[in-house]
Amino acid sequence: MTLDLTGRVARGDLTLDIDLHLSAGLTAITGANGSGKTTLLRVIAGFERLDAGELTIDGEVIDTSGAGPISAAHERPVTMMFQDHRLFDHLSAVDNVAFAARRRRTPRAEARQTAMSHLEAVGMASLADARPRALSLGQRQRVALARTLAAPTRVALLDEPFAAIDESGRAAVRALLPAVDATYVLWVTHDPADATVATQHVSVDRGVVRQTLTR
Amino acid sequence: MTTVQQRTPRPLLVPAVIGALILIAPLVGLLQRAPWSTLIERLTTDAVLDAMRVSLIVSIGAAGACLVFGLPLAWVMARSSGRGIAALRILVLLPMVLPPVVGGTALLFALGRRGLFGEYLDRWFGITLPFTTAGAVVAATFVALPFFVTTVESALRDAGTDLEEAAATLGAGPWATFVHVTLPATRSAIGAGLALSWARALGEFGATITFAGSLGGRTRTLPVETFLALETDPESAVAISVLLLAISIAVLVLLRGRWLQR
Repeated sequence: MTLDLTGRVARGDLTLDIDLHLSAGLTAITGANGSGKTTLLRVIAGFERLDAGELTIDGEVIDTSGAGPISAAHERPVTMMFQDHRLFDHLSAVDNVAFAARRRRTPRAEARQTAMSHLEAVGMASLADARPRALSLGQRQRVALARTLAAPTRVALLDEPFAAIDESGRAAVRALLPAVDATYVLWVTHDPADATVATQHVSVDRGVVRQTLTR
Repeated sequence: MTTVQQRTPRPLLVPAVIGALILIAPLVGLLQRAPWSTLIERLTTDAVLDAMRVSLIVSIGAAGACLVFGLPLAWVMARSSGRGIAALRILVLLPMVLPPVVGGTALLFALGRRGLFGEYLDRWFGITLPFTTAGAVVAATFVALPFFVTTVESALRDAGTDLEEAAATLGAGPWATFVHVTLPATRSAIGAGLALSWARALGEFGATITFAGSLGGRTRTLPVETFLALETDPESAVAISVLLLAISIAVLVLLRGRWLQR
């Protein structure tokens, strides 16, 4: 079982040459600012099309530049946590986290109960009823993380998930990574401490995307 | 801390005052002539009550039509690009600057019984629009729709697709995303668009009288009643005008958070 992404994506000045064959587990993605890490995640999530190549997850073709079916973002077994969080301002923290379950027609009470347990895991249970606007940047990031954890899929993509969380709280949320309910967890990070948790590493360097090491 | 206000240059001051007077003087004239002691009586005559009823039906119907047809139109325009959309945007704005009487004439030749589409509406569905209340709703919708569409379209553009992407990665399809994310995120703009289009529909005169005429109790709206009353009973015309003025001010006060920021 692997996640295979090979090919090319060109967006303005940026061209990514990608060759990845990832096994299940935790994959840390590193690279300089503007090197294309976010673009890489957006290709997997379904917001950017491959100009050449193919994305398969467990052998199933998800995206291809050749002839064949292409899954829309909402049909992919992929969830993504964005760097700018993108919480829904009209929903409370707990309803943000319950969003994915509600779309799968889970009854409201049950979805909220599950959401509460995820908020507890990121230390946000006491602010469950707060609107995102009323939260600090770090608190919003925790809620966004909980929202992603509450949407079980095969692939979880996290774009700098701990960047806004203070140093003292970071270890606790980092410990949640192995508990993410997804076969493949890919996260972008600049923090060397993050890399120690990873089982695989991907580097994005001047448009070249490669696996560098497998532990 | 108080910032020192820049002194207004003299050459600007006089035209500025005249400009403000052009807007304010007619309102003062109207209020000065208003028959305050008999206002309630004049606003509750059978003719005025009939016109009020017609106006309410027509303006609420038009605002409803703006919501049902204008919201999808605004969404499509906000999320698409290309030359066709640019041309469509100009066409959607057209009723804002087009003389309403031209709009009414165009409606007559499009939807009249002998009109391009009206002939088939009549023959296939038995629907006749000219000189009916439904026709008055169509005329009011024609002039009010741009106010709704432009308000909502710009809000949808400002909101962007960030939240819609977030919803998609949480498994929400396009329709669920529209209902559960896009609509709530733009609800205040939708409310503002409704208020604006309703106020515009309430004040509609030219297209209505051209396309729907002035049938008492059916197409004679408050503005049409005002125009007719000027000949026979100017006091009543002033009374209705004061009422419409009050409603217009109320709508602006309601929207002050959006447009009347200092």
